[in-house]
Amino acid sequence: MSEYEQGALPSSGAPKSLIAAKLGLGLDGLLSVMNSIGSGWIFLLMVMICVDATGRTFFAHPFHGVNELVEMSIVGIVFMQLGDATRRGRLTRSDGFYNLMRARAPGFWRYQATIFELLGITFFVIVLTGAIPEMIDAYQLDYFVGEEGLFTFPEWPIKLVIVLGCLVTLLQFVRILWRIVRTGSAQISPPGA
Amino acid sequence: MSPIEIGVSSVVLIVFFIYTGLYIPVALGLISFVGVWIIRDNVDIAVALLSESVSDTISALTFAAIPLFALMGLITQKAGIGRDVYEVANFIFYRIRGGLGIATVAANAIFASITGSSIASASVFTKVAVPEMRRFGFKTRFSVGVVAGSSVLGMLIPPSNMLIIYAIVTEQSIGQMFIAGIVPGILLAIAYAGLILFLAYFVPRFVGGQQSAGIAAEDWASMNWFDFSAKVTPVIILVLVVLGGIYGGIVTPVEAGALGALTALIIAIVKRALSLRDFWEILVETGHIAASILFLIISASMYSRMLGVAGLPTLFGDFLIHMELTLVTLMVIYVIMLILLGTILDTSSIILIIVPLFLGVLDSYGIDLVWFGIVTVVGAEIGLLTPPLGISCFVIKSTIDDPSVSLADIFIGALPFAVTMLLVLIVLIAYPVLSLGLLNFSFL
Amino acid sequence: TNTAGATETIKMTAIDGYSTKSMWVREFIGFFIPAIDKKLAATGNYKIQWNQAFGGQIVKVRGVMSGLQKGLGDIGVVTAVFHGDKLPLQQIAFATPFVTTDPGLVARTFDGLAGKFPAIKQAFAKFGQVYLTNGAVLDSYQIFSKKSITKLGDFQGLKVGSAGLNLRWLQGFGAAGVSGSLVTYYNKLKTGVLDAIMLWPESVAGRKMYEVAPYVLKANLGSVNSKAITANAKSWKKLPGEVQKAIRAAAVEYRDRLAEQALAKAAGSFAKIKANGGKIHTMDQAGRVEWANKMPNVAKGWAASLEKKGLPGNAMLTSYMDTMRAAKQPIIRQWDKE
Ligand code: NA
Ligand code: NA
Repeated sequence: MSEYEQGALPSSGAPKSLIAAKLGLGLDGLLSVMNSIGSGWIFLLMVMICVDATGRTFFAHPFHGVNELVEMSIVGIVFMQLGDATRRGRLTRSDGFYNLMRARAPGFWRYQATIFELLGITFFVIVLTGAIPEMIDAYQLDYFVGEEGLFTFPEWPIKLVIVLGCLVTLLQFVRILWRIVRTGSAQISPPGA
Repeated sequence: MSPIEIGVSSVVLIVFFIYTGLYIPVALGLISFVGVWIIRDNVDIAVALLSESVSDTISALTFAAIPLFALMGLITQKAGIGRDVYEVANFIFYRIRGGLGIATVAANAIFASITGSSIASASVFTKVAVPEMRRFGFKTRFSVGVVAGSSVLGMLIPPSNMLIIYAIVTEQSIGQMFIAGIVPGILLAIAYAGLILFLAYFVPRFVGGQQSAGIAAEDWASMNWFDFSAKVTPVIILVLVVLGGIYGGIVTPVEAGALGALTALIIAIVKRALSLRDFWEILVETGHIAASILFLIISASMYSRMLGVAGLPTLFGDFLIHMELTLVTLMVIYVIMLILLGTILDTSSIILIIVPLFLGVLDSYGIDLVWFGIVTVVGAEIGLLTPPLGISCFVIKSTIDDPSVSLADIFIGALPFAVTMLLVLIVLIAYPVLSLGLLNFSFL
Repeated sequence: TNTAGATETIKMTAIDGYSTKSMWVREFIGFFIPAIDKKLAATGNYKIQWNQAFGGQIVKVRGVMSGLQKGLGDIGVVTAVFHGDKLPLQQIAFATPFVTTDPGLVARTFDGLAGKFPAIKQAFAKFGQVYLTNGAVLDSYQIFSKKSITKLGDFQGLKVGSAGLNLRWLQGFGAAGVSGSLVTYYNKLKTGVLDAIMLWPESVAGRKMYEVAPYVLKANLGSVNSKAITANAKSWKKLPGEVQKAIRAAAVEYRDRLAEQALAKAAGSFAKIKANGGKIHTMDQAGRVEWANKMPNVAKGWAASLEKKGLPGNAMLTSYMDTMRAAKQPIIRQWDKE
């Protein structure tokens, strides 16, 4: 699957709708920022674990809360990257039949792709229906990980990342759907092509 | 609907949607949602199943091993370590018929000992070995098949993310699981080499490839000792850091991943093989791998939790006990289920779904959980090579960036390797000592 | 409701993230469920069709709380020690070490508190659950280590693993508490991520942790009630009175059975550890007194933090300690009277 198949990056053709184009650019910006944070986070994760592992050898006093931070980091990294991974066509799918239809039966494929994007939107709407109240609870009721008096870290920031990650992925599905409906194709040329 | 009807129809629907090309996490998630809604007749509980899985599945320390070993794999790839290992292996094996294929297997086996996932192995050797093999006239299907088949070694020879996941599910020691994976991993590598020799002699049209005379002109075919040691030293350092760290009792597998990634980074900087921009791209790529694999694990968890809500694991356990199966029959059923699930699910999802089903009955058969884990991982990894969902084949497809190589080509090329895996699996089942023998040595 | 004499079948899903490797799950299956079934069979009006989803089939170990809240399970074992933020009241025994090593007494006393202080049941009600009883699954915390520890000074610079608030029992001795799950300790000890663990003998012997942590400091730090047995509130409301009554009665029997098992397993587990090369050092009373007096008053801190949230921390602490004093427990430090 090519990098640019899933409706990534602004179209090289003139946009039909200025508002849609601006929304698309805004989403691209957001996805890129979240992607950068997620990528930097991986580096931090590596450093954090290395410092902890070597630190216990060289310092008498090890660090509190590394376990908790690592556990939250994994969730953070995944949901920071999920939207961009979707934009780059990295959300796992078995594309044999799908691509065959796209090439051989574009009319059928258009219905198929529309239904699949709608199902994707439905899925993330359901996840958000559950995740948003969880995030609000975590914020309002001060949920934390760790032990009071030793090390605690609030739970709401990571819940916020989950919600944001699912939200931008949902918006990415909406954009692909929009392109399929408008142009009959999710294919976008890479910049400069 | 009865639990069994739900279970069967969910499998049918998942197969249908995955075949037609729906995003797999979406298929697993939505079907789980509908399943729980029907079972419990309550939409809130169905929503809760999804949100609980999203927030609760991957927030465990051990999952950090997945991005870390992926990062290490990508840096070693960028630093040319995969290529170096491959050239050394070529130098050793090129004289043999199908030698570049055997070299790929050998290089994979070595590379497997510094990476925890088949994804890293598949992506490294797609870039390194496939172009080289094609250059020397090996058939594309064979070339990608060798890479797909041998990438499986990445998850069997320790360190291994799948052995880690199995250890988490069954509460076994990760270190013991790793030790148990060594001999089966080497055995599988030898079986692959045997397969390649067999194919090269008896099905040359499938293999292709030039004879050694044409290859002898290559630089690496006349490698001197200085080149040789320069190419293998980084690997030795990384193996020492990762496996030495784990078995020396210095670090956990997760920490070994982080230290291995850092060491690979230092090696790459020393080799001047990595610009800042390269490194950033690697971090982004690692993020994409982490997101797609871990989100798949989340959605697989939705599905296995749905089966739990339907009560299928309990029903299944009772069913097995009442059937009074012999150990052999039980294992045959188990392997068949692994392979069937392997067609549509990734390795970790299979472990997460099927192992809890069997866990309840293993005690009454006196089955060793470490051995059962090796059987499980090898059996489930056959699925890496089988359509429609074969992760190793997907990785090759997305890495190779060549539209003339279809996913079908890769699956066809990988088929002989999948069959070989099954034969090795039967041997591993028949001789548990292959998995458990090393555990008796106290120095480990 | 049952005039025709037919038996009505009710579906219930029991959940825990822990597997049958854990004593309380084995007893849930082998004792609790049969006890409920037997009571219902006596009248024959109702029969429960159980879905036993243990070992992470539906929820992970930390997910039982939200799983029962959201209705993914109907009844289950919440490991309250993981939820210091949501269930602070449940931590009382973790805040009062060196008081008792009688798990049955701890569990019964806490149920007494639950009857006296509505805040305990309200805490569960807030999370959509009905509190049935609690469970003390260990006789006493002890220290298991890679190197010999015989006095407080030996803790300097060590990393000690345990589950929750009990990590504070080591505060001030130069050790770092590392919270983690039972199932990861073996490997963490082996690799040196941990130097020692604060656990109880049954879990150490059961998971062969003596192989990597052969030294035992038998300090009898105390027993705790780390478990709560709860039901999803909506499922509970739908149950007929007779079934509710049967479950409540069986839950209390299950609670006492767990305590009994915890005690019964302890002696054999020490023997197993010893037989496998473990070296047990029993701390003398002077050492225990020093330990109890040198650690921070965790109980007061715990109570004060509850009072700040408008919960009866001080009254609960006094009531708990009063019960322990009335039961003539060998209390080293009067946590409530400082
Ligand atoms: Na490996
Ligand atoms: Na497959």
